[in-house]
Amino acid sequence: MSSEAWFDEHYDAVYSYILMLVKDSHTAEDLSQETFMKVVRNEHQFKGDSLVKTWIFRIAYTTTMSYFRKMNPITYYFDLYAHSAKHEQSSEETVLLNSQQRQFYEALNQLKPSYRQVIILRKIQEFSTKDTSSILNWSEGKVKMSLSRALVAFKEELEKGGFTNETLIR
Amino acid sequence: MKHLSDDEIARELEKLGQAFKPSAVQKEKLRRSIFASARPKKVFRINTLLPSFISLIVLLSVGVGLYVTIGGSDTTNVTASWDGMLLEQSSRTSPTRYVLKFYGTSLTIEDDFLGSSFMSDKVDKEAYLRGYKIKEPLLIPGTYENYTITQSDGTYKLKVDGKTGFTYNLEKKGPRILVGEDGIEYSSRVYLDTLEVITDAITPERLETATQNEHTFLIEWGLDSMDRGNHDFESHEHGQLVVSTDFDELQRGQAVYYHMPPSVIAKNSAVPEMYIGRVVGLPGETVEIKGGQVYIDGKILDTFYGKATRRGAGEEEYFKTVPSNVIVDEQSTREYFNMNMAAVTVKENTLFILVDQWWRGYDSREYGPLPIGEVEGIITGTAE
Repeated sequence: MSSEAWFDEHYDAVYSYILMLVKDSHTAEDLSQETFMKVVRNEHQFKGDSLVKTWIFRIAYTTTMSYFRKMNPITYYFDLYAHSAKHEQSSEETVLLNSQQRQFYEALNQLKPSYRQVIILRKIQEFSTKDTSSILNWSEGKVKMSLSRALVAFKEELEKGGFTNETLIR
Repeated sequence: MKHLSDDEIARELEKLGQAFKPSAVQKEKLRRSIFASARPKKVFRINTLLPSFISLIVLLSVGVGLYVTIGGSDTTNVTASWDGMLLEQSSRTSPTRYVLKFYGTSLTIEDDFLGSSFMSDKVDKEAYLRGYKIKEPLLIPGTYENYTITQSDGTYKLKVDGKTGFTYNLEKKGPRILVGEDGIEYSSRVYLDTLEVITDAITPERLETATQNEHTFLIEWGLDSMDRGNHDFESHEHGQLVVSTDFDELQRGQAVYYHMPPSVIAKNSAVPEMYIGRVVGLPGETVEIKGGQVYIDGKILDTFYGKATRRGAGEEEYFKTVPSNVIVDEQSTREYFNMNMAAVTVKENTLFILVDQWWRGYDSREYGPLPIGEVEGIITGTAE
């Protein structure tokens, strides 16, 4: 399978993943472009010992991380990068969300980056524990542990914003 | 208050993810930017290729220059000049005796070898062939039409077209010797190239009796340096030699009686002070020996004293007539018959002297051109 077919299949997921992290559509476009450039360039290096999607997401993850590292060299190392972005854009500017989605997204953004990563990958992109562990280069145990803690923290954040079972619009 | 269930959260997060999906237009735009830039169109830009072009041109001109100066071997068609050529096999290292006749447009190859026809069928053919160095001669006897011969330096390429066509390379080894690509040696009756030939119709091969007068005196000569198979010049066979001091201008081929330069005597005290040699190079000429043949100004000296001999016999004749058990060292004897000497320019008032049996005497090969003043007289013949 060629990289162009991979692009067709996985671009949407990669873009949405990056956009959720960087919150800016232009930056997200740039980074997903960079990601797929790397995919095209290193196509022959893909050995097939994991899913293509996992491999591409690993590239997307490292690309995004190096972007943050470049933007905020110091805060990155303290796991704080999301909070200190200089001109953080509001979610309204990013994508069109209904009020409930906005609440969810903002709650997600209140979490610390590692929790955010694990929720996005496991729950939104729906990767398995094993795939998530290879994307983040964590152990599977760490993924499981982080996920359960992240979900607890996420629920707390939602409830802080007055979100309960009753208010959920289904 | 009821907490949200994990399932509900998961469902909502999934919905949230959908909202972040890019539009189809955006995706198409990006696709083009990625895959167009990954395979950039080849654009012909003269500037990027200019260094390659220039180096190519420089390389070519250097190559051509080298070819012209070093190689310079252009191929010329010499078919016409081979009309009437007769090549006879002179080597005995193959079970063949080829004779190649070039006449008009046809080439006839004959094989005069008798060897195997004398033998009964019982004789093992392989064992018989073992005695020959060249086991598979390339030429097939027959008559061939329309041959061409091209020459490139010292190599002649014989080409016959048609069904029975073949090519055969002959390398020039001497003025009249060719060696085929399979190693068979041929000799021709005529000189292979149109080199000018210097001949000498005056000088006799054998000394005749000469009259004596007031300008002559008699000498005794005992060395075999002038031997041409008849103990020539040797007094114990032919008596004393007549030397005449009355000569105007020395001619090529004249035998002279002269003072041996002291440098030679210093090296070998057995060398007599007065010596005999033959005038080969005259003032102003250039003398060179290539493959046992003397060249004067690049022209072949086709005289009996112009090539390496042993008792008057050239290489071919010598090995034909002398029994092989008498020849001590064939290798060095062959080398003698094919000796080389770098070109020597004969200055004014000097002469280039050679003895007749090169390996038995001293001459200008040893001491260079001889000043004319050292010549005492010319040898006119034997005394009556």
